[in-house]
Amino acid sequence: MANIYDADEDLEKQSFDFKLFVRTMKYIRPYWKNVLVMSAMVLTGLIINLVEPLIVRYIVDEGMMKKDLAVIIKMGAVLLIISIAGLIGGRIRINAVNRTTQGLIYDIRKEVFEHTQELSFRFFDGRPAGKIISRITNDVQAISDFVNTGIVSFISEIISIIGIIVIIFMINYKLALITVTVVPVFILLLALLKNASENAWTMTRRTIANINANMNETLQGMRVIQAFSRQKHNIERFEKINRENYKSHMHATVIQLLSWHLVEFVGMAGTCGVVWLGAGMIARNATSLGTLVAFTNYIWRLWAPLSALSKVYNQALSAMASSERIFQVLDTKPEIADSPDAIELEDIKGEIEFRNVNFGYNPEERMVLRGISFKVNPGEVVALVGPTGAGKTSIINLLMRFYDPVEGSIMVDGHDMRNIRISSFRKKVSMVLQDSFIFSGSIKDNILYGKPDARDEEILEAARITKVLDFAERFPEGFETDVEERGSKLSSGQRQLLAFARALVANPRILILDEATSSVDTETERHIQDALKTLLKGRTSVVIAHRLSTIEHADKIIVIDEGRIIEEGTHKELLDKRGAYYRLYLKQFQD
Amino acid sequence: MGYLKRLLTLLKPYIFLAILAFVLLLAFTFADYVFPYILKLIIDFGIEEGNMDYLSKLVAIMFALVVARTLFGYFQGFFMEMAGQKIAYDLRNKLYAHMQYLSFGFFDRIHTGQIMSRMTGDIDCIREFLGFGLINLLLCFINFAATVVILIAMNWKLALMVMFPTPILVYIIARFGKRINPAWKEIREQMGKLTSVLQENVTGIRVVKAFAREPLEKSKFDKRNMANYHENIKRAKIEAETFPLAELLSGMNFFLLTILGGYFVIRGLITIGTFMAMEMYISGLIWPVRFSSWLINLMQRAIASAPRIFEIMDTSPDIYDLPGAVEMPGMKGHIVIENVSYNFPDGTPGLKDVNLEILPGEVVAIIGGTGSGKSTLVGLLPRFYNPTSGRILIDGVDIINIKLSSLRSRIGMVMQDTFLFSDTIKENIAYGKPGASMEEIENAAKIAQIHDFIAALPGGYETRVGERGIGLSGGQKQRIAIARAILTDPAILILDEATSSVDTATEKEIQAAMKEIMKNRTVLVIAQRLSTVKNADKILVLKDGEIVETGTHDELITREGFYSKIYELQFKGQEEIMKAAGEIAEGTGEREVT
Repeated sequence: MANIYDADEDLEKQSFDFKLFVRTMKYIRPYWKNVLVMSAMVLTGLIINLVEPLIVRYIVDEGMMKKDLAVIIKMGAVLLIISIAGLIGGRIRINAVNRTTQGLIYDIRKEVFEHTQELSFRFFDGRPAGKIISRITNDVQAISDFVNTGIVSFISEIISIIGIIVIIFMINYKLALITVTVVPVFILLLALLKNASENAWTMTRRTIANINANMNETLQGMRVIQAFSRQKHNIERFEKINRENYKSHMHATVIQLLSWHLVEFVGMAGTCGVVWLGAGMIARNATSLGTLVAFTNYIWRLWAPLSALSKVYNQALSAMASSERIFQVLDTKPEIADSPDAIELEDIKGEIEFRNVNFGYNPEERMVLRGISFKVNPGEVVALVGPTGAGKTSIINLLMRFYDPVEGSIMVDGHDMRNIRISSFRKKVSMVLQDSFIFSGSIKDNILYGKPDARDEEILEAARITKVLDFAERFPEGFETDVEERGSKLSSGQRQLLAFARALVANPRILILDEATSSVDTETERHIQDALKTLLKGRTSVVIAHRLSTIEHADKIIVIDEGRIIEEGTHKELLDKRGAYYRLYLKQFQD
Repeated sequence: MGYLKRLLTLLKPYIFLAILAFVLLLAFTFADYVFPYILKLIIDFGIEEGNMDYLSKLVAIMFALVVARTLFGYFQGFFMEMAGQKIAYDLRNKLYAHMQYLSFGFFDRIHTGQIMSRMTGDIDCIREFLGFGLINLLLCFINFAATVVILIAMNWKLALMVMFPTPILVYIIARFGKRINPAWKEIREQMGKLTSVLQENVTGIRVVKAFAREPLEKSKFDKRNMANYHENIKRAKIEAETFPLAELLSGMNFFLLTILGGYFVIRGLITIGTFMAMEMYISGLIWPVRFSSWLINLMQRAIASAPRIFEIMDTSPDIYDLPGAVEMPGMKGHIVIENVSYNFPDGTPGLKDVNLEILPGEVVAIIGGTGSGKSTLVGLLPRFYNPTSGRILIDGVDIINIKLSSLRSRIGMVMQDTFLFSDTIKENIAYGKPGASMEEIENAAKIAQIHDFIAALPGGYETRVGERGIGLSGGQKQRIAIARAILTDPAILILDEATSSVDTATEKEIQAAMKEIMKNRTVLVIAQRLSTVKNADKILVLKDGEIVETGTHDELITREGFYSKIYELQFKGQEEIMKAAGEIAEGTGEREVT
């Protein structure tokens, strides 16, 4: 493991990935008409190339030798027509190639992106964002590069090679047989280099993904980096990752150059051999000089397409290194997916029940929640209390169905959550988290995220309750103020308020507040709480708060420690009980 | 073309490699030209005359040439790629290092996704041009020029007539360069935007899913993806208009030569031999044009990428060491803030005329409403931003004159948004002091009340956190951040809502442990919970960027201001409940409430 970013690269190297190739080629299928047009154009071009020398020969023999200007003009006209046809054909070809490659890029990106949207958190937990991004940008690009130049040259080279081989067999089959003996050498060469080449390309993709991962993290953590003056150390670390990228590229280059030039070398050396053998045959009068000249002329033309073909082959390997990475994403099944007979919840009352739920992010290693059972009636306010790391946020993750329980079940309005359409449920739930992610765009855009078709009054109402209005008005552009990436224009308290507004505008049946106002000043917090009291009438809410004062009016308080429920009841009941809650409560006021 | 010139300067350190590659490329091309000649010799003298000795020699020479050509080709490719890759490597390093010192305003302005796209895609475009396009462009030019000379030498009249379409061709290619450049610019920009949408989506996936907004995100991405497609198709159209036309015009050379050459031959102005030779050489006019129109495409793409790269390089950090800036290893932490005002980049005021003195070892608490300027104020101390006016002195030295690394290494910060790096817990705690001993690390963790938790993890201090690590709760992350700040043994400790996500009991424990740590340090605390700030030596109340109240808890509580109001809100109600709780607890001996 060269660096920490390599940790998630668990691609297994399979040998000869014909399947991979076929699967990649499937993406070309919708463009078969374009490919057909392309092939037709390429073929026509080849034929023209073959015909042109004949025309010139005709001009020389019939026109020049016989001093016949009319022939020259006639044939000249033919050449002109061919050229103009080439102009049109060229346009058609370029358009067809680009429509195919760009369409392909579009299709694959779309498919991969849309698939990632369905994937569960575990997928994202396990991967740096930069690496996921790299697959959708750089890897897709690599495939299209292959399609862009590879397919056209594949078609034309294969045709050339077949044509030339047929011709040389017609000229002299003995020499031709000798010539074709180099073909197994080619294949052997390419086969020998194949694994090395594939590995090298995989490494280049991996290292560029590492660069992306490092970049993304650096940019996200820039404040911490600068606060701790860690620049020098970071630069060194990046240089290492960058150097790996450089090295892997050079490694791939060496292998690529080797295969190109060895193929050419073998071909040309073969030509030398043929000339030598042919000379011997002439000496024995086994063949004529003219035949040998013609023959060498043709095999001379054989190795250019062969070398080009080995380039295409290399490009294909390079593209396959990327397809593998893309298919790996596509083949990751969403853990949390709608079952085929999942029901659509039109309206929910908001009854929630946890039945003996066990859960862990890595269940083999550590269980985060054990035997959690509780019930929340519609319209109730439930507070989750407990020390940090007790498992409060995990309960919320389960409630949102970001993860499924390892054991036990969660019921909503009497339905097992696993049988409810995810989107239909989540649309009825809103959450405000301690770490509120704000999107770039205006304040209004961010509020609209909770309900894209919200009316202006709804937005204003949500902004008023959460006091977003107060700070929005202070900006010259008001609601239209661009909050910049991750809302960096706002203070963290303001970001929380904005997240709150976003949640409220969605008009949820269930509201989840995970330390939703931890960075908000007390006055604003109180204001929100008072507003919520009326606003949330009849809605279920689940609240996590460390300031116990904010939850004492909850209908039910659940005390959690080390993944278990240790107490449950109202504020009064729990104080009377003089248990954990009571101690926690007293502790707040001790000095 | 200013950008082209500047791109070429990137090649400077590797000019030797580039020249070497170019010479080898010439040799390689030359070998190709020699082959037919040797073949001719073999046929004319070897085979026809039946001289087997001579023939064997010639075949051996040809074989040697094959070997040489292969070596030329291999090393040419190798050195060329090396130059290109080195340039890309350097450029990435330079950009990365440069960005490490850029001010936050830059990162607020340019999206992470944009930067990532520039660091990969745009640098690749530049690499392909400098490492491949340029050398081959030169080769094309030389070939073209040589062919022109040869043709003119053979028969200048015919040659000039044959080259009649060439100026038009040059014009068309030049125009192509101008037309394709904006197309490439647009494509690169679109790619940056696409990456931004992607980056934001992946980092914010939790919110996306929570609001079931996947369809919206899909359409957002689709819009970018589609725009990218369209821009590329637009580009392809320009190519389709130019490339075949260039081919046609270069094909005209061939056509003209055949027609006019025929006429010249018939007229006896040239021999058929000359005609045949010219016919062979004419390809030297044709392929360089076809190849170079493609290479110019590469060049324009690189020129379109260049400003995206140079924009980053040309952004100078707003915050940098002044010449003669001093180190302050023995910082005591005496802070004086004099008439400091700060305006955000868009002009909205953040702080207005703040005056404040903090003595070494004092604990100062800052409270205030959301967006009142608390974080802005403490952010000025490590010089995350420079004040718009006024100055800040530490131990009597204006912080502008203190070396940034020295200043920041003496200030420990725990920020609101806890950011941990994808590394082990140990490395994260030691972030500000690489190479700290295990004992120091554990000690810091103990003070931050996180040691027990870490020790109980199966991986202990080697457990990975961050992007790919185990999921930590907000409070756990905050405590690791506290440990990270404590470990650097700072003279000034800034706690910006450092315990907002920590439960009250743990907060109390942290506070107790911190008491020891806070000794002999200047501490600035931002908090919403008054329980956290009550015991501070001095409490500041900020409102709309101004200090509206200062004093101790006891002083402020008697004044009818913001503080007393907050106190009322937070404690009044609770004291009654406490009374109730106390009554319940009465007789159990558990009542320790003050």
